Amino acid sequence: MNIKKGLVLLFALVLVLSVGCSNKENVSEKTKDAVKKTEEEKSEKISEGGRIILSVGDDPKVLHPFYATDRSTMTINNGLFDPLFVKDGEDIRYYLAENVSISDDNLIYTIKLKDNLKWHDGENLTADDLVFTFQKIVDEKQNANSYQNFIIGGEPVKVEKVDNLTVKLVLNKVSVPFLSTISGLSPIPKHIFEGEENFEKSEKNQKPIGSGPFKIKEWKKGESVVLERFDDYHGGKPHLDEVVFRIISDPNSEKVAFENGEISTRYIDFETYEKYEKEGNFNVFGFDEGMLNYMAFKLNSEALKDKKVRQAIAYGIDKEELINGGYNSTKYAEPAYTVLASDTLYYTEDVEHYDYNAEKAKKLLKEAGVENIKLTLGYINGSKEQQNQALVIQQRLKEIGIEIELLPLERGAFYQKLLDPSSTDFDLVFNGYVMGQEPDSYKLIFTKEGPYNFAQYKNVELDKKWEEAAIEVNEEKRKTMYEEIQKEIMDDMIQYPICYPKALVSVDKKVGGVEEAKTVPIFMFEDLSKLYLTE
Amino acid sequence: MARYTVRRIIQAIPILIFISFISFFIIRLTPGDPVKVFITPQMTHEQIERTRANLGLDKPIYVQYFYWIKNILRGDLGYSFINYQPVSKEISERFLPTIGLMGISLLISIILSILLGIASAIHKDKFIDNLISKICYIGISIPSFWFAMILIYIFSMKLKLLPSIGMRTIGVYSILDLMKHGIMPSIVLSYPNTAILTRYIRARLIDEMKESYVKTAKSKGISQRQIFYSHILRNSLLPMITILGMNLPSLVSGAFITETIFGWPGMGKLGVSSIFNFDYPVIMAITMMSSIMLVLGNLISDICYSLVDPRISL
Amino acid sequence: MNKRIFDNFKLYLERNKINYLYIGIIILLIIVSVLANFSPYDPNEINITNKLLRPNSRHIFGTDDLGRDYFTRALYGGRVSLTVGFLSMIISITIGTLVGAISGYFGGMVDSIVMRIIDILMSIPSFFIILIINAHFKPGIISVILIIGLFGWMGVARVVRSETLSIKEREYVLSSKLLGASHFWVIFKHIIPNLMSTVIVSSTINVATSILMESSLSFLGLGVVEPYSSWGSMLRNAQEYIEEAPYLAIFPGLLILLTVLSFNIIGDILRESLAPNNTD
Repeated sequence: MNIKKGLVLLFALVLVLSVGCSNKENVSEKTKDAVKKTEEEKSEKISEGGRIILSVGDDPKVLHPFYATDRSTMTINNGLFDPLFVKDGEDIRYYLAENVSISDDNLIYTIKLKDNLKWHDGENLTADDLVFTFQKIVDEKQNANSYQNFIIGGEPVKVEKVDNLTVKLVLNKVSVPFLSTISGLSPIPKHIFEGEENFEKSEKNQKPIGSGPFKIKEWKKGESVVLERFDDYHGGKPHLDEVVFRIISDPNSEKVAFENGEISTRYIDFETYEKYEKEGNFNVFGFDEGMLNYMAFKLNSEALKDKKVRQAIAYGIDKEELINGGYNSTKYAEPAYTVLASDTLYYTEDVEHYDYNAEKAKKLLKEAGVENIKLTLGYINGSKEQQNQALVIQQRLKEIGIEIELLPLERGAFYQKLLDPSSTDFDLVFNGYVMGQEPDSYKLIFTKEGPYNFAQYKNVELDKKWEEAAIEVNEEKRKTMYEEIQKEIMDDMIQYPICYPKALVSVDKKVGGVEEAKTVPIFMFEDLSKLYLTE
Repeated sequence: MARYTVRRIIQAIPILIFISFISFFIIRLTPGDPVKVFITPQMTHEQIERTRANLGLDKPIYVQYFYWIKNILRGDLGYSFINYQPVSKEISERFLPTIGLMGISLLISIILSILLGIASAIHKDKFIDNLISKICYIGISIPSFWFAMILIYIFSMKLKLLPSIGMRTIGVYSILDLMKHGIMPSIVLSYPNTAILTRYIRARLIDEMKESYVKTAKSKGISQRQIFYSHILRNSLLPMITILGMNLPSLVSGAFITETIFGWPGMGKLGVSSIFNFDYPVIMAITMMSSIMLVLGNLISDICYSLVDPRISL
Repeated sequence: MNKRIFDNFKLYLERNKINYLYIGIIILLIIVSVLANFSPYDPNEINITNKLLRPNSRHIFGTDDLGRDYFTRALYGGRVSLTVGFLSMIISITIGTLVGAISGYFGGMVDSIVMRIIDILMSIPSFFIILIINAHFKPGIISVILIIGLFGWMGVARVVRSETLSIKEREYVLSSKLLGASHFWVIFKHIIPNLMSTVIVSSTINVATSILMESSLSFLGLGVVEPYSSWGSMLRNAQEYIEEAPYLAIFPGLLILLTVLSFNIIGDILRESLAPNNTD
């Protein structure tokens, strides 16, 4: 199947998620698995200048860090606007910020900026800009995506300027995920937006002034967005003269364009990956997306109300076979045993694995006293992987006496039905999510009031635990709490985790510095300033 | 003449208003709520309603229509729901690529169809006529997207001669590059029209050759060739102008598909993506632009016709 | 009168024997689509191990990316495409004939208003409007048929109207009116039966355009949806595999082309055989 298409489909949901929950940047990490597949010459010569061309599926919408919700806009914004810092597990990579410190009572966050920061128009980037940014995020009129995340304990986070480079954020209640919230946040220029009534509708977003390694050169609607090198970039002058985002909506055209050298890189499926790897014409990379693919049980389905039936289904599926059905081998998708992505904090595999056991499944069904179950499995019809996996499940469950009817749906209809709690069109559903490294964001899915609680899972005890874990500052205790949560969810089996699919990318041989630039989900490259062309 | 033109233009205005009325209601009354695009599950009811009000969708449809017309008359096409830019700007940036593509295709159609039409008529019922007739039948029967797929497969994927997407190579600004990108889209867009026009011209020419004046002229000893080029051709090509006007709708609808397949950065592509995004203001603007093009096209073809053919009194 | 049509039609077919081929194609396609059930394969049965097989003796059109027999799918797809073509044609022709006949028969005020409305409707970029409506309605065969049908009658109405204008001046119509027949009676007993030849020609061409329209919609993903497939939606899927499996794109495309071509040619033969001066 076409990975890129699949990604876009999933992102439709993921992005909704990341808008709502924690900040979207924290989905972007995890590169330790980045494996370089093709031998690269050691003595690669950097040729300064030149241009690389990336492809995006659609015109960017609003080039303003407050409002990016789709992949095109987020990718381009990432080149234009630098984040304060990026939190990658326990590590923090600093961009605009020099450091971030948290007071002992966990209520005061102090951000110190680097002293050589400049906006693309040459103005200095200072604490004033940062203060302005925070003030506008909590200004309800501006409708910033992350507004909710800055309302803690019912009140907006307070912001104070300490000196020209330092800003203090004061919370009125402890919130452990708050560091993730400000990680990846990009400041906006005060001198540009001051006095502007509505940022989202502002003319200024047509020619945004940012702080990233590249500044905007031209935006030809429906065709391309061209960024050019920003010489005063704080991280050093970028290698490339230009980074072009070409708008190509059709995956097939994208493929032709890539093979003809019209674009420098693109997402590929595993078949293409193997083909390119064998032929050696292009460099190929695979990296962890921080994404989990799963099958959820809808608890408004009569048959699935009984925990034993859900467990029986889990035992009745052979996970390895299932992954092979979709991805040919576990090389492109690691098996998943818990509901958290493997790069999430406090991820644990110490849960019931539900290894394939048809006898046990049958026994559980007998105990539940149900027979002749008929269930419907919904998924998006464009996804070949899901289609294939659905067939594997259909076949396996037949053996334990459960009949599965497949319901492939158009993407739009699928999400509408998925988000509609009263919908009974399907009992089982394939989906995927990228929720970031902060486990707290998962409560949107598993708590009773969670907006993404598609399964309609109700567990009052567990809801309480989610709340407590969010404000628990003791690392060890917090870890234990999240591990308990995972165990309990897996025991309840309201969601059958399938795998962590890798994103596969092919890159033109002329492009170097891919490892330094870091391959990350959504943007593909975290730091565009590190990319270069080889001689 | 001038009076006729003015009268026709004045007549066009109520037609356009009526079209806008019909389109507006069709678009708004189809199910699907654009506000849904903006809703995140955390939004409260008030926030949703505020979004609705911001988009101007909280009022009854006829009131919305009234506002829309009022703004249009002031030259304000509204703001895109998706990127909040003025619709007029969105459209104007895509106008040239579309008009360029259509213009070139029209030109190709006219030139080719005259040549093919003459060839067919002169060699009526011979091999060449039959061949052209087959080509024309295929032209009106082939699904344009399939034709585009075949061209891309041959010229971009196999021969690697032509680029498959977009209007230009990034960083290259040359006419040659533009032409290379434009070849396949304009061929796809012009083929059906060429076919229709060729068939029409052939039929006209054959009819005209039967006219009595031809016989008279022949009897007077004027050479066949002379008659053909000085009289027959002229008389046959005039009505083509009307046919051109009548075929504009197919050109407009063809542009939606062609631009989408070839990633041509024009209004057609914008139109298709605005449909998926429920971007009402852009959808309306594109509907109106296309209607204006159709109405104007007919108007111009009528006026041209009357200009070149003095027999028609206005 | 119908006899005359038939004789002329036969005469035209005889003149150019190859024309029998087009009629043969359509009849064949209709028959095999109707009999699609008798295919040994289930059009929706997935068999991954058989995916993307090239055409061979067991699968004459090969198999698609999910190992489904492509020939069987093409038959079922043809069923959908032809159904959409015929049913939308019936809608268009019914509306077009009624509007055209009424407009032409009554003339005067009624006629100019109706004609004005048709002018306006024809200035609406109907393809775009169809896209809009289809994108937002529940997708499905029924809505595709309705929408294509409801937007395709204007041309028919125009032709029918001009034909009506001449028919209504004929003696039997005039005498029938003088004898006090109601308008309704005249239109249905005298006008419409005499329009039949025009209507038949229009219908044939209309089927062709409807099939083309449906395929475009499905290709853009706005037409027929799963579990049904039409030739257009098959092409949409084939696009992704055009390099590895070009035959996936060739077969449905050829089928559309052949069907539409045949309808167009038959329409033209009918038109010629119905023309008053068809003796040359």
